[in-house]
Amino acid sequence: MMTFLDVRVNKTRVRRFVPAHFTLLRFLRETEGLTGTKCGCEIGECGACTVLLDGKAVNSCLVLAPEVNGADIWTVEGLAEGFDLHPIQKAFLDNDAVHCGYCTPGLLMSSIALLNDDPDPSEEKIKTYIAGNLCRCTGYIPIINAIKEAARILKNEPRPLLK
Amino acid sequence: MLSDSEVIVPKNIDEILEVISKKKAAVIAGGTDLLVRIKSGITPPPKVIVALDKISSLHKIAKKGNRVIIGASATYNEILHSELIRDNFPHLVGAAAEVGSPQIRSRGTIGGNIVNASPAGDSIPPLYTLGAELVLRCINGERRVRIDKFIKGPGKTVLRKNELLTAIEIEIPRGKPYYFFKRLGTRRALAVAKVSAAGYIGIDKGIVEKAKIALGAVGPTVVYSHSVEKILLGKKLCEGIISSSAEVSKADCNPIDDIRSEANYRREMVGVLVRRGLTKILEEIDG
Repeated sequence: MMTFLDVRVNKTRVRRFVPAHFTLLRFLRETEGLTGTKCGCEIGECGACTVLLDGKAVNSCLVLAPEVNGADIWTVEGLAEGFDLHPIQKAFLDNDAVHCGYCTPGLLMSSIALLNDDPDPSEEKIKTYIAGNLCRCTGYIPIINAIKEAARILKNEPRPLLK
Repeated sequence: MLSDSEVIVPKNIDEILEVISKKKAAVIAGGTDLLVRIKSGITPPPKVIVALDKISSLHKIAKKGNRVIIGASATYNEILHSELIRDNFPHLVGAAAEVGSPQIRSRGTIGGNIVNASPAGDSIPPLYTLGAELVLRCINGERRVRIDKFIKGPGKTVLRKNELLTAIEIEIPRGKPYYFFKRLGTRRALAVAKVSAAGYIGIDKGIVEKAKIALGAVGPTVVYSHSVEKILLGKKLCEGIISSSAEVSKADCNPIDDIRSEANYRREMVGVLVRRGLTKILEEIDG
């Protein structure tokens, strides 16, 4: 069974027939070729597949494609403008918050959800917002530092929110 | 995994009731439990999946007279950010804040938590303390069932195949109520509770006149701790009363050994959580 989707993915309108049993994750990776969003545990535990769905961080592995019709979706591919990295991406690089990199797209999207809600988050709040993203390399401290730095940079040069 | 399943996304409640009156369907709200169970091979893929996500009336949280009505598809995030719930039932907010992860709280719903009927469901103990009433609708009408009469065992409820849980109704207690929610898990995020406890205490002129204590993950369903309620009623809350409450609460549960914890540990921790919860209330009263 196929379902028709009319959605926005990273600002671009997408109208497509997709298998109704596809998850949002499979739609993004297999139909749209947006393989930046990673497939980890596929049961909502690891956060590697985190994307923004109407502004909220969700595990794309636990959302069925027919449920997103009409939605606004942001993935890691939507962060940079051409070769100009988003401040959160630059901050992750500058703070060595990327080791193997598998968790990075999900953590970036959780960070964006955080900074959209609170442009000046406390360390406690940062930890709460990234609690659903597992990273087995960094020990999280570089990631927390990167988010703090991105918040500082975005305060001076704000970017339009990915909502 | 789901390639043979038909997925229906109805636009209104009547459309859902129509579908579930005719077909044997699995209803998903956020999908954070059922999809995990299907993907893990615990539940076979259903023939028909009905997704509630698009029905905005099921997300509404509103006050009507002295009752708060929570739409069954209200997500944990919507509950966390609702001033109405924050002001009236802070322990329900406390429970919602500890569910899963931000991603799960964006999608997971209070109605899903109730119908899923896990003894470890975080929103359930606070709802027990409030005597929440559940509105069950079918094509022929509706009925109301109190939450403790609704849940029959792990994953078992009195919900019929053709019925949909549409709302949770809670009466706002009179006077000055005090609440607590305490929970223990292996870690703070994404860990199902090993033990949880919630309490509602109504105090009039310094004396406890209402007491409801509910314990989670220590029996086939959430259970009331009637012995604690008996000790508290008619007394002034003090350290001595809290100690005896903590002691007797341990006898009011029937925990098991499982992958998450052991029966003995759970029983001991029931006492600890009841002590911590009542101590927090005592501090607020003295505050």
